[in-house]
Amino acid sequence: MYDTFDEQYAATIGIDFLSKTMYLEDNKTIRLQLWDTAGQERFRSLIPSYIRDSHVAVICYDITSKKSFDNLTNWINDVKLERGDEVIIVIVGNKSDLGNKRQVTQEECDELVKKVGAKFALETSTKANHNVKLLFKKIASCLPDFNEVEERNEPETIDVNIEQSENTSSCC
Amino acid sequence: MDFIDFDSFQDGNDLPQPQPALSLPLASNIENFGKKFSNLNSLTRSLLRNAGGNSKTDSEDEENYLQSQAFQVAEKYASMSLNMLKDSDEVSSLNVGNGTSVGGTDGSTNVPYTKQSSDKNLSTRLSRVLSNPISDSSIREIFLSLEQKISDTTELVEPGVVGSMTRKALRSEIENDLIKTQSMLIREYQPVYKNLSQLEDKLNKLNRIYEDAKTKIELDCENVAQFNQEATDLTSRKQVISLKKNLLSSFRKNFTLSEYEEHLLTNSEINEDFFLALTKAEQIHENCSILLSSDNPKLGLKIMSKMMSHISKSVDRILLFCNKTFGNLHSLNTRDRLTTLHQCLRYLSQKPTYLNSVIAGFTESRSKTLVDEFLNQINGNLDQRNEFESDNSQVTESRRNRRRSSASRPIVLSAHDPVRFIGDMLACIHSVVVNEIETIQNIFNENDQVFKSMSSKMVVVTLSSLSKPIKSRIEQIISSETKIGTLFSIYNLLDLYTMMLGKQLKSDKETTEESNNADLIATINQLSKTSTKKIFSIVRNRLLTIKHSNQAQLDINSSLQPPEWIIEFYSDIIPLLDNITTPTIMNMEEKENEEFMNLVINEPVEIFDEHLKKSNTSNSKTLFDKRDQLILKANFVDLVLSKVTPISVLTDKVLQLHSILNEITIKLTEIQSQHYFEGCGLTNYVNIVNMICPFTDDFFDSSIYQPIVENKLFVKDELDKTNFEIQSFLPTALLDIQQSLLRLNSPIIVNDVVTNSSLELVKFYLKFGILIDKFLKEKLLSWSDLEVATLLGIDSIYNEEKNKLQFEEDI
Repeated sequence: MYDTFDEQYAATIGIDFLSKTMYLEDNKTIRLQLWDTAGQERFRSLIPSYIRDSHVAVICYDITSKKSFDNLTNWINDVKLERGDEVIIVIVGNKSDLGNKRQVTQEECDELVKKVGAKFALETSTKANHNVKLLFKKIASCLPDFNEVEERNEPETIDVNIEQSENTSSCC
Repeated sequence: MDFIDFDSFQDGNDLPQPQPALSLPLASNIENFGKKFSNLNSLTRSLLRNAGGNSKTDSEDEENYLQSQAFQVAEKYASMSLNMLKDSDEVSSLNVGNGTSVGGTDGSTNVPYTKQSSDKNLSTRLSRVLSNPISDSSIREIFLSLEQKISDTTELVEPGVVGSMTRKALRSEIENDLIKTQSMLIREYQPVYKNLSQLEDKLNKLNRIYEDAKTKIELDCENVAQFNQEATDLTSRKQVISLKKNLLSSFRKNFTLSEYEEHLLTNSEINEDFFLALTKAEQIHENCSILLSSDNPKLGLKIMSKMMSHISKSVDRILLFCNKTFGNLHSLNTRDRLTTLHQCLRYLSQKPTYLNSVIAGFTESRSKTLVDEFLNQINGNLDQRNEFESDNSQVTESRRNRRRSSASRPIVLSAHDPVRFIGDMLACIHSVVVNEIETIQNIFNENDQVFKSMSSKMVVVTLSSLSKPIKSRIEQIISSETKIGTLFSIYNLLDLYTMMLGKQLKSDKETTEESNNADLIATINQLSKTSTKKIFSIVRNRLLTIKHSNQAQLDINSSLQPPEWIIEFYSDIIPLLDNITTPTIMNMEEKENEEFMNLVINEPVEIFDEHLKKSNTSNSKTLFDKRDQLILKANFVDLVLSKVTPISVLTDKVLQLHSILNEITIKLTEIQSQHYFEGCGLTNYVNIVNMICPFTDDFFDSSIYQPIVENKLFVKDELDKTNFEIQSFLPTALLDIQQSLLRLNSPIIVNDVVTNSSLELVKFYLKFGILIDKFLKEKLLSWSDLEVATLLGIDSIYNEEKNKLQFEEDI
């Protein structure tokens, strides 16, 4: 998010908040509010409360962990349970720099996208700063034009982080 | 020469005699003249040549003319000389005829006077001649030429008439020559004279020009002086005027606003120029203090009131601008308006009252918005939804969908899950806090200390408005909740959000410690304490209910098992205690923590004790003996211990419970030992030994038990009976004891009781046997101590214990 990668992994406690202003090509400016949810079980009960008010759910998996990919369905169900079809689901495969340890193929991911009706899927590497900016740009461009609505609502996204202790990277 | 004062001269006075003539070294006029005119030397030389008779003229005519001229002049001169001589002769003859002598006192003084004057003339002439610095050669020439003229010296020196005539002729001849020479000389000066005359004209002309110029200059000088005077006057006037001008311009600069500036302050847009004009107006207002100190302060007061009016109008405009801008935050999307707002706030920061009113207005409106939004979320924004549904004529379906998606879903007490409800509320608050901080930071995004503290204050005050609705809602849920587990989940949520919101509001909290009471975090923290208190009160009430519950008392029955209520109680409490990760339970203070632990551990034990006591009263159907009571308590404490042992925060309490259990074990052991002694018929002997000196493991000396022989029971017959009792009791003793302790749940306690009581019996049996051997000199007990230990199932333990005994040499 801030073009940096911290080797030291600091576990998210509760829900972390980040904000990022995106300048789109059509001179539009969108401020994204990102709620980073903790992976630990004891904080899992908090996640639905944040999903209910979000417009985009960014659900991440680890391309080197098939288990994390299999868990995606549960997370997507949780999101759909709260928001139905009124939410944009984005699937992100992280750690794309570890291609030699890959356990989830791009095809499998594409198949899941079609199956669950996700907006798009993207493989990123926070460590190598690959596709991270593109991800947020794509998310920003997917958002509906809120200017048409009288009420001004900041677009909000929910980052459902499913990589628990095995996740050694953090995007910040 | 002596001079006679004209005023002091009197006729009678004798005149002083003149000095004789002096030979004066006078230079000849010719020479002097020659010195003055360089070209006269040539003339002198020509004269000398003419005088020498060797003159050689260039032109005969000219010479003749000159000669004729010279003669005429000479004759004239000679005649004049002769007349003079005649006059002098006549005078001298008269003087001689009167016989007056020179220096006579009674006669006339004319004669001597005349003689003296002629002498004087002569001496003058002689001195003039002799003192001429003419060179000797020239003098020689002169005398040679003179000699040529003197043809007959005798005639010359003759005293008579002839001589006189000759001398006169010579004289006239010489004079003639001289005149000729002089005239020639003068003629030479003629061109010089002419030149000089011309020069004189020129000089005169020059003089005239000079005079004219001088006159003009004098006139000019006068004019200049007048002009200078005028110029000086004008300069001084100019200085005065310029001074006045400077004063006026300075006054204008320091005490007046231009029309444009007035326009800026009253009608123009608020911009950079507006603030410059306002600053100037304020400066003028400040400068007026100088005018007030003057003799006539009216002007100062007038200007002050005018400036004050401008300033107050401007401040009103600034306030209006700020309030309007804060009223419509979308207007801050333009950079210019934001910059102007910053300028306005920076200006208002000098006037805290106005600034506070603006901030208060903003925070109030934001607070109202936030509270309304929050209440909409809580109560459900049904009105808005209805509006959306009905407003279908103008919006397209897709837009309506978008509206629906953007409109937040209401927070409902879904499935009567208070934890989820509070979680949703806190998540909503978290989102509001983040949004509000971002909004205010976007408005005050400058690195200005004034803005930083201002924005922090605004965030805290704005968010504080949410404290009340949150507090009321959550307190309502907490107060209506009775489940400890749910309350603990609520506490955990509140505690987590205290931390998460603290992260967001960290800086604000640091800067505004004074607003802690109204702080959102403080409210949530307070709510978490409320939940803690609620848990406390529920636990206390529950225990109180149990304490006075008959059912709970009835739970104590002959099965000697712990009552149901303690199992239920701990099934609720233990998950709470198990999830504690903090040093104290739910971050309570030390005292509260201790109180809660007492409530959770000690209080149930005390209640159970009370129930046990009550159950043993006369009214109760079931009466428990001491052993059963101890077993009941042991079972109860053991249950509590088994529940709390894994919980780290209860380590102290675990030790306490262990201690209670130990006490119970000791008591049970005592009871069991008594049972053994009674069964073996050794009770009386135990008492006798104890009366002398109780047996201990540390020390045993059989001689100190000598008095036992005096006892009537310590005889062979009685001891045989006892031996028989022992032999009949011990083979079944172990089964009996195990049977009696069968309802004691803890096998460790059972084992301890059995082992310890058996050991006590065996040890007594051993020592008592020694005493019998020593004092009755007979072996009356059939079984050895090891056999007894084997019968009681503690042979191996006894062997270990026996080795430790101090009296092994006596055995």
